[in-house]
Amino acid sequence: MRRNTTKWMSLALAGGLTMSLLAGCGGSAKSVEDGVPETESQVQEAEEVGEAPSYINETGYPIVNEPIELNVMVGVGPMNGDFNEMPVFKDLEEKTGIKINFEQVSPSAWTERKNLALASQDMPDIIISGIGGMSDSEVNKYSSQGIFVELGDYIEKYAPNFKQLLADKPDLDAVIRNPEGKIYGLPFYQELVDEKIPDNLFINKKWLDTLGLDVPETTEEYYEVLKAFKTQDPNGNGIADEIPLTYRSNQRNTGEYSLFGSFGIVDNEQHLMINDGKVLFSPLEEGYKEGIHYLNRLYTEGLIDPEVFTQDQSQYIGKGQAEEEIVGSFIIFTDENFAGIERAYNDYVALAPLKGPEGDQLWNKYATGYDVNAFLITKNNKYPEASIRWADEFFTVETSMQAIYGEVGINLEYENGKYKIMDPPEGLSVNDIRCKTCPAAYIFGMVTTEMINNIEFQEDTARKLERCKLYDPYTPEEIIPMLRLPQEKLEQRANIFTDLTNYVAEMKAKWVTGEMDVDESWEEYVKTLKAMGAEEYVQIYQEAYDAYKAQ
Amino acid sequence: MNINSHKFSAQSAGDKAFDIVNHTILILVALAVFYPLYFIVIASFSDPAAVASGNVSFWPKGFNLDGYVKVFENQKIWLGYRNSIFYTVIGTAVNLALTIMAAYGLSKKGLPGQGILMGLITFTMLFSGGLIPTYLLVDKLGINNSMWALVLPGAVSVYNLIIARSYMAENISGELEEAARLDGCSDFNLFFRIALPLSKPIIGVVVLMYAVGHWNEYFNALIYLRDQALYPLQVILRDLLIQTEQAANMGGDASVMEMQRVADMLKYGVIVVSSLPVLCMYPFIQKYFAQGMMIGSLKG
Amino acid sequence: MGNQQTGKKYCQKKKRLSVRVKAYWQLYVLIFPAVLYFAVFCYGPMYGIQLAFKNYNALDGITGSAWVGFTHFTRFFRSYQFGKLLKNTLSLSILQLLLGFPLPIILALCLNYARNMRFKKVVQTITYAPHFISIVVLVGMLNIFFSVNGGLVNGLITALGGEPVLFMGKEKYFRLLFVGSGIWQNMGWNAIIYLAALAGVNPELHEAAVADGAGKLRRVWHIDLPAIRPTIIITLILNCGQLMGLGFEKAFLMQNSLNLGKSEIIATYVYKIGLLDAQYGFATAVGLFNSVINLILLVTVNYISGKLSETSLW
Repeated sequence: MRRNTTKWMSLALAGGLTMSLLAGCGGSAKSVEDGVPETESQVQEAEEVGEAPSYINETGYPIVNEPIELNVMVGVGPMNGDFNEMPVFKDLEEKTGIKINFEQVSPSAWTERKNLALASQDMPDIIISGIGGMSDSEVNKYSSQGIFVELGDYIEKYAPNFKQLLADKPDLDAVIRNPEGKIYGLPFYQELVDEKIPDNLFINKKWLDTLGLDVPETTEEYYEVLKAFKTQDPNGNGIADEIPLTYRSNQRNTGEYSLFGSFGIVDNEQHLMINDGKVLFSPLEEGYKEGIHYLNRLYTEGLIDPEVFTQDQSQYIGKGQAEEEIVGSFIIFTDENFAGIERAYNDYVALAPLKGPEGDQLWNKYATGYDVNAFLITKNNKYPEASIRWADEFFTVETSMQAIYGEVGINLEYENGKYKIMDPPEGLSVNDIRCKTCPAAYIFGMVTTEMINNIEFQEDTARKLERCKLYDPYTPEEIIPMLRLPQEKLEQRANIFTDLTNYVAEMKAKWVTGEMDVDESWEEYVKTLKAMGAEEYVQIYQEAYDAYKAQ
Repeated sequence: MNINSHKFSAQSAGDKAFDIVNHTILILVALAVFYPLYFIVIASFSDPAAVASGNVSFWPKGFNLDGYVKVFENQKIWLGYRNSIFYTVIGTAVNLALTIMAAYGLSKKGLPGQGILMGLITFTMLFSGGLIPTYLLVDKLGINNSMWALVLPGAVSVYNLIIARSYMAENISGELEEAARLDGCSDFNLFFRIALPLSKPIIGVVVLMYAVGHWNEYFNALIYLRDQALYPLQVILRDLLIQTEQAANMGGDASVMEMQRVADMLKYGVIVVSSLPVLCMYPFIQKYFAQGMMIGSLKG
Repeated sequence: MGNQQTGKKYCQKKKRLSVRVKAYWQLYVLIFPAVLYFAVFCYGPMYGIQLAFKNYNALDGITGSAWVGFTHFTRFFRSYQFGKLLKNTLSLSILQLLLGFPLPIILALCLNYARNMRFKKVVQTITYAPHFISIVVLVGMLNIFFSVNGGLVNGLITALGGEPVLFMGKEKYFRLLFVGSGIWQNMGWNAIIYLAALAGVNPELHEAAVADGAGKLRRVWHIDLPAIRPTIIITLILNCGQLMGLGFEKAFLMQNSLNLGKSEIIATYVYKIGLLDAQYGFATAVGLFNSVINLILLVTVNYISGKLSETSLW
């Protein structure tokens, strides 16, 4: 159900394996962190659309009088079955008269194959980014070169379902246009809440009970508990092998970002937060410094795993599943993935955000990341009208369910307007059979709240959704929404961001491990960040955010 | 002919010391290199959590074959092996022919234009036009989506050419050639009758380098091959790794852990599966290095 | 008169040249296929280099795209960390060269003097095998072996009474681990070329030396090393021409916030700022910069070597 696009690129590059991937978290489609449509340019969208060409029926089915074929390049994960054989596309072909020939590209080849196809003009009619992903920057580039076709006019005339979705979902309406106010892509729109709060903090309840301790509520109590874990041998094996707290630094799902919430700020991958409409660079805030002090105290007293900055995902997970239970507290998307089902269900509990010394109690929340560049039409396409009408089918509940969750009778039970995800046959997982029968999350379309409310999920997803309710009350009132930046800002941002994020990570590591002292080096740190362009960076987002609010 | 011409006990004290030190070094190096290799093998049979937490040192822990089952239940693996062997054999043959012929020609210092050619060739080692124009060229030549897209664009490696050329320049005596030439021997004859036999060690090296290069190749395959039936082993194994990662990554049910576990095991298993054939090939090529010694004594 | 003489000489030379070209025609035939390959597949696409000075527009093609001058280069040079990146890249690859270059030679010499053929073959095969291990697994193993949590190396250190060391998280160990693991992986592979060169050494030389009572160490020094010197020099020159070409994958995988100060190299940085987003112009510019530096290094080393040892690439 989750979709994780951009990470596949680094995956492909890094030799087929993973750094930050695991455990299904993510959906941090980088295509969507950016930019703002200008209100005035929205008007121009409603410009005259020519008369419908004769090959197409404007309404009703089939869409085309004579069958047509479209060539589609799509990023397909190796788990998926052959798209050409999937019922959802076959059913549509029967209904619409449009046959799709899929060229299915594996994620490891996607970046090059897609770019080479476009760069050499040996291009398909349609690109569905699927598992491969398509960044805003790429779409900006190719659309400014006239390779991608602007969809606004066609949507106006041929996509009633999608127009309805835009009308229903202002957050989508706000980001679907690029900064020039034009629509080039159709989205994979989703409103699953679980991805908004990806990092959850867990604590070993069994150990707490063994030691007769209460679930900690403040940072000080948490400190005491960790200390007890460290010194009082809660796993009772007579060896001080306990790791009171472990995480993987600077990771969205497994990192310490949200712990800063107890000190009045939230830090995240972008290092941005909003206070009273003002965009702030969180690692420059006073609360950040306080958070560092706290982490440093834990670290120097041996309460934080010394490997938090170095371990890879396998090592991290390995600790959760070690024969002997050794982890007291950890951070992850969902605890089954760290500790295994048995320990997750019996030993660990999610911990609500801790109250800091000043009473602060915040937790990170991300704007839902969804891909706005999931479906693109190239200039080679002779039937853009029909293509859009075909695509519009995916913005009906029926086709979306079929494309994303699969077939009734195979993947789903359907009764009284409610869907239930069926248990998989022995030896297979839900996703195994789901990916064989439908594109799963690697397509365009929608998963709206209304749809979600009508789906009965499997147990671990249900648990995750339940946990989100624990954290939600503590999330900031204002968070950075999905923004779309103009191309030159995107490029400017890329350079500054890499420098900033490197330096912040480096200094954090040095401070927490005690290699350097925060108070002594803070001034120098602030100066360096400013020299690197922290203010410009904030400015880019402030402008985009203001424009977003102005809508 | 062995350069250790005396029995150990018959050697001088200095040579004895040399032998002892030398063999100690070799044994230590071999052990240091061997252990991580052994680790990969046992890790491919072990529970990944135990591997990642450092609990697997000398014996597999939580022994299971899940990684290998995953590899071999994939029908495409055998096709991949077949394709890879095919590409490796054909590709290496083309590489070898072009490289050795050119290396011989360019090893003649007196050849007019030799210096310029070497300069121009070395230049291509440093500068290249990049992916797009190369792709366009392959497309235009019509070898896209065929084996030739994997063979031709890398038909000669500058590095190997230079190595082979320098070997030939050093080891094929000019006097011998002059003598043969006076007997009316043509350059073709010289090349086939004298240069090739004398170059066996370097041919062995060049074959090895090219063959391993083809065997490990995946990037060009990813770019140029569309037909899945043409995929070499490395691409199929990569897809397999990504497949389990994708499964783990999608989340959504309790099998995530299981998929992550298999994915971690696969990492190691895939190395065993893909490198065994090349390791088996090595001893056969090794022979050529030793053979060179006997024939080498022809010269001078 | 002087003129006449040189003219004559020139004529002679010219004649000799054409005669020589004709005399060598069979050699040209041998070279021709390779030259054709270089012309078509290497020089054919070479026009792509101009992308370094252009903004690539697919519709206009490479030649038709708009010139942007040195924009891409200035963007690269202006980045805050440029100096550090260059320093890190060069330090890492120079260290790799200094440590990684001599060891395969030593290994080859050691193997050459192994008394037992089977032993020699076994050692040779073992040392060659790591070449086939993927970088991902190599780095994964580094993480496991050097972990403070059950890692083998720290186990050894504590057993000997030392304090465990966070190897992966110390800046000062990054280069050592990077280069060390590289040596582990490639020493045997790189030794192959020297083994082949040693196989070409004339055994009579050894026999004569033994007859003169020369010990093995002397024979290594006076027979083997001089015999493989050209191979050593050629590989050295070629390696110097690749100093800037340090791959991104290993450094990227080994990178963490504790070793960033040393582990951020050009390749990883360029990757991070989003080279993948179809920024062909920028990518080509960075590549061109690396190539030019490599060219300068290679030509310099080649020149020096030509002067000192008469071994050179051309």
